[in-house]
Amino acid sequence: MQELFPYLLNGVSVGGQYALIAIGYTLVYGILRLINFAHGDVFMVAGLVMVYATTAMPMYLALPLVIAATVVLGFVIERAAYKPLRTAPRMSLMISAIGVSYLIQNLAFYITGGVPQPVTTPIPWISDDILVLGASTKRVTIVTPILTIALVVLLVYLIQKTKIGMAMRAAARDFETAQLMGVKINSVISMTFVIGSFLAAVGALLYFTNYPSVAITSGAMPGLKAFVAAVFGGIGSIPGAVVGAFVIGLCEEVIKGLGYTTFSDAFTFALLIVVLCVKPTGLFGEKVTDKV
Amino acid sequence: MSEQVLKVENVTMQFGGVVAVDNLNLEIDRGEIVALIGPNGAGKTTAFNVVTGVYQPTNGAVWFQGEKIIENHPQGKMKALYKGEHAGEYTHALAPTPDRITRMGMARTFQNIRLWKSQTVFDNVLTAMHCRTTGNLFTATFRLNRKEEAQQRRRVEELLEEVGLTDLRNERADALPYGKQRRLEIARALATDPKLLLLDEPAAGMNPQETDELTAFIGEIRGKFGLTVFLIEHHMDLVMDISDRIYVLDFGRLIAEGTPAEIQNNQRVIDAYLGVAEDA
Amino acid sequence: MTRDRKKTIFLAAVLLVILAAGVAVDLALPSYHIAVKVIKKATVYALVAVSMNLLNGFTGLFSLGQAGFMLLGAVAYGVLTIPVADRLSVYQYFDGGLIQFSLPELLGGGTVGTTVGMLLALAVGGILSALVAWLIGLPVLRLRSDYLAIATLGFAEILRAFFQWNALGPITNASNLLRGYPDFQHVTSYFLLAGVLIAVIVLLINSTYGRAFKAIRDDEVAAEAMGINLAKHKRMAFIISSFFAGVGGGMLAMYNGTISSASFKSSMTYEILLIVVIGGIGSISGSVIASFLYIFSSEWLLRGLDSGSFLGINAPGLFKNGFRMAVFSVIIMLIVLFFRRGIMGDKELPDLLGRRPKRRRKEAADK
Repeated sequence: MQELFPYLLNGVSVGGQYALIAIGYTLVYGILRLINFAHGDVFMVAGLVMVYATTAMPMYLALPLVIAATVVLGFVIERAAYKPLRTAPRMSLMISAIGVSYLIQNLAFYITGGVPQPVTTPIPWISDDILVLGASTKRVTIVTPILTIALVVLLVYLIQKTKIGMAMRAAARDFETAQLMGVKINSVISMTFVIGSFLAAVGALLYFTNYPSVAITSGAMPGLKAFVAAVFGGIGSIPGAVVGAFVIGLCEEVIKGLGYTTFSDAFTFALLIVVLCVKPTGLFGEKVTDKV
Repeated sequence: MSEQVLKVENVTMQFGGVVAVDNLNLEIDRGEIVALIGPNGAGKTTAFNVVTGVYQPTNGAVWFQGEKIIENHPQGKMKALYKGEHAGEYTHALAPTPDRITRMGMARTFQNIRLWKSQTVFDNVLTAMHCRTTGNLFTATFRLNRKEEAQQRRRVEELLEEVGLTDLRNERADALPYGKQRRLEIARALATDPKLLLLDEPAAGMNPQETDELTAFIGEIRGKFGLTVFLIEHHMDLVMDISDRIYVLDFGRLIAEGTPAEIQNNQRVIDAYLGVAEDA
Repeated sequence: MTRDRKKTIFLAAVLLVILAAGVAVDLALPSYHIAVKVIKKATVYALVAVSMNLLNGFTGLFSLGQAGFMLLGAVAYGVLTIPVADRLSVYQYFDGGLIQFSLPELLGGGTVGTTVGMLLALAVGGILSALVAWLIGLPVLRLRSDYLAIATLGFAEILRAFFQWNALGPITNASNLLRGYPDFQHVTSYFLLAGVLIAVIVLLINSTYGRAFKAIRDDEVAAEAMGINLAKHKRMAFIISSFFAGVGGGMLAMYNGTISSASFKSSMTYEILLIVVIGGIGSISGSVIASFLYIFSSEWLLRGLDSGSFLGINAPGLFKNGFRMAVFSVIIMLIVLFFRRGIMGDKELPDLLGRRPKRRRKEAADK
């Protein structure tokens, strides 16, 4: 137990970061029924922008810039790559998402020259080393879960109480009817991407603080895992995504702690396949019935 | 006594709290044309879907050519809801997938035409013969089944001739006018070599002339292919013209059965169609 | 019927020209020439893309497990063909590994023995992939479109982790390279092998089973109502596609000269999927053409974009490492968004012949 404690601590932290990404997946899937394969890459771009911005300008400018840039990126991706395919079959939409992912990675390769960009100027305060119950870690480990929960509460409030939140719920329930009822579907979808990207940016700031560098493929794995978390929790459900993310983060770190690092990624996918086969709607998902 | 082709026994189909079909019983003999009619939402298509294996009934059994093909008799607290002599009996639920039922000799068409749109008329019919091929993957891939393939192609030609689509054989299925698409669906169903043909609103969207042609056509194929026909239809002309017997559903429940003449004069049927004041 | 015969003749002519081109390349260019390398790679990709098209384009199952099956085939090929004498150096961390035989050597070596041994190893890779597909197909194929995609993707990742696992090192060499196995020297050998396999897929697609696959793609409910067993046929398509992906993986290993499990990532699957999309989902000839276009441009024709000058324009600042792929992916996005039917749509090469007479007939009718 004593040896596992640092891993558990880390698991909670990673789980929080996955949760922030997973919400982006779950929101988009809820409305467009699209696995946004590019979301992980948006997360990676946020990391890259952080590396560049923090070295070039003071922190109080750099952090808002990271968030703003990521949000704009998410918005642009939706408008350019998904909106034209609104009436196309779902397969085309998914292919477009894969294409965007490929494009972002290649652009990032061009800009970075394919070299992982070292995180040279870490964000102060949260990067400080602290001791938690005898285990040495960075402050971000403690900050992440707290910040994650706070943001999730805020988001749930937004979705339950505001007008745009109501529109989002309506669109998620029945896209076409919502449109007929006068919900401005395009702005709702844009809003979804904006929120998702915002959270991914926050997640990236926290995630990459713990890592020495950002590579162009850094987003792929966390992205996929966050998606698995969303499926595990029941896709479309925000609390589900958060719970799923923490479970996956914890399991993954514990598996590492037990010495099976090779399988920490594989475990996530095994969990995914088991969940899909046993309870495809996840922990908190609503039942979907197909009409013949 | 004529041979029984289809028997539906105490079939109930419940979706959540909605009872779409309520304790349905009906029998169809070989060579008959039987119609199932009723107002919209009466549960006609649901009954078809149960018979063809798309839905598993919540209670009841279906017999086809003397063999029990579908069965489900729930027990426990659900038991009270269901009727029939086997109600509540613990049985192994029998629920074959639709493809198995089709291979047993029951073919259907769909209310909202479901052709393979991007394929040609010819291929639509040819594909439906797949379930009757005797070859396996290997012989099919390496063309060791030429004889069978040639036979099937000849049969497709015959069927297209039969439904009058020979000229259009190379057109895409979705390029055909509506009436022709319905005929193609019938040809496709016939390609599976059925004993019982289920037609779900075959005349929907057809003009009176097309409907007349269809009426004649259904009578014709019954004789030629030795078919039994079970159909759902709203066009009363057609129904009264060709049906030997008629079953009437309303709110999932059978309210009448009999010959066309009997049905036409049945007060309950008239009420169901025209509506009747609640207190009457 | 005459048009069908014309199509057959046309197709045969095209294939002959391709084969002749292969022979010509073999005679004219040394095997280290970039053209030879690119053609070999494109041929392998053509096979893999066609196998993916069989599943995604013709059966309508959106699977993203291709890289996993290719990895299986690649490792099987390497493990079965590395000469025994080299095993100690290849498996240096595992005392020469567990498997102490090599198919080409078992079959007596020489040209015939080696070739047969190599083909056998490829087949074993394919069969292993097919077996694994059968196993995972049971639960996974019941899932709806996008869940199927993510489940197969996840499965490929699991497989990759498995192959990198140290405990399996004596067989798979874990995360170390497998190398030193034989390769076909000639482009023609690649052409013949991939050509025969693709031909088998074409035959399958045009058979009664292929028609059943297309029926499932176009309307599952109707297919089932017409007596087609969905579970059986989906599994069949999945297994067959995986078999060919496995063989393709083996060929890719051959071409590469080394096998590293880490390189069979999901991005490889994405790449193949994009090739299929560019060629046209549901067109075999489209996939083949797109593979060649894709590999030729990304590996060869657009190289200048990475190294300073392209089409006579000198701009080292702009044309630096990575620009090629950036431009390339923009083009792909444009195709995905605006030319969704790809190069061939769902037509095949010989269909292009049929088009002209039809138009003429229409004109005649208009008169």
